[in-house]
Amino acid sequence: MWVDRIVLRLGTKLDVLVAIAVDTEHAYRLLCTLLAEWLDRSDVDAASIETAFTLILTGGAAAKGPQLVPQLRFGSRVMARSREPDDVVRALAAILGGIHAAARNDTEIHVGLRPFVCGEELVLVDAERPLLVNDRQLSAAGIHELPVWRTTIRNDQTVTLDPYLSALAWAKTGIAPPPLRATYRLRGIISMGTTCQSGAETFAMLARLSLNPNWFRLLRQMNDSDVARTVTKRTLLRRALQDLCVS
Amino acid sequence: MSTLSPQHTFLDGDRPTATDGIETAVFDGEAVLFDERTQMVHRLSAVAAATWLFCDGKTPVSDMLTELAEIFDQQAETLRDHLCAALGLLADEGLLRGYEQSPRLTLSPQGSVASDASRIVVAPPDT
Repeated sequence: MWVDRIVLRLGTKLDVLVAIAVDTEHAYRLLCTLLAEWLDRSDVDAASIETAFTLILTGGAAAKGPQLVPQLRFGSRVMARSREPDDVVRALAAILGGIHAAARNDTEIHVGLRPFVCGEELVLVDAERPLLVNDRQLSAAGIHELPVWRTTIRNDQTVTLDPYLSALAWAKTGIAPPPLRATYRLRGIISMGTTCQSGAETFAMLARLSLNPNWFRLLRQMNDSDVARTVTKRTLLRRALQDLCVS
Repeated sequence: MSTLSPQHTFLDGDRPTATDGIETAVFDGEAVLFDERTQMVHRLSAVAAATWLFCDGKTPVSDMLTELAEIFDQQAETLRDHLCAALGLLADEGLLRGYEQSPRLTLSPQGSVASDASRIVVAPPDT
């Protein structure tokens, strides 16, 4: 299924390697053009770099069964999925931008939770993919997930996202570059849990996502304000998202 | 929090004091602590959570026992072992002043590294 793959060298010290497999020659040429600045040209044996991401840009009607949709996967996890292949390429650029920035040490709160936004409002979700990836009902409600590697939360509860990977040759690919990243207001956090899970158990799991003490304080504050929720079903997750994001 | 037998013991007259700089979040019958020094998150059971909140340096262990008996509606003596275990574990974790965290072996994932020492981003295993 994988026609070829590329290896990128990212990070401010250029010491992070990322291998991406693609499904067509076209996708391979596209990535080589778009990511030319970041292709690894070192002596490292490319074959020894395990594939992290897989990019599927071909969609189409299958005779039977579910239709294949362009998508980006991190291992087996679907990171982004869209009928528009360009959306998936932009999602890849967003995630690579996060990997690039994550190699930098700083003192801010970074968590790998999934950000769902509606306008300038943002809710963080702790749920395994592919749950609610490219969810139609949420889209109809004006809520969509942003493709990110991580989110950065400031003490005033604004959320910033890492910039897209820079120096990309969008013009040469014919793909419209993504819009600039906005800043969002954190409205809450939702965890997918089980019915027998206590509030303390959920809190402890979330607290372990960042060792920044401000993260613990923020979680406690959200818990006290009743904007930290635990749900057990997809339908309840949608409802909680709409409740926190839109209200 | 560890479930191993605690290494520290307490007498009725002792007045345990919480270590400074521990963040606490209290839930229905439980608590979660964050120790910034060790960067560890601890989840406490109901008895341990109540015990933790008594560790103000003023409350003797004997009074803690009386308070716990009232909270949990039990005979004080039936809770003594639970209280001692909770105090011992808090002490073992370095959460009480004057007690060092017990030495422990921490295993960290090695991560994948290329021949030039660059870090390789690796996908998570299938679930």
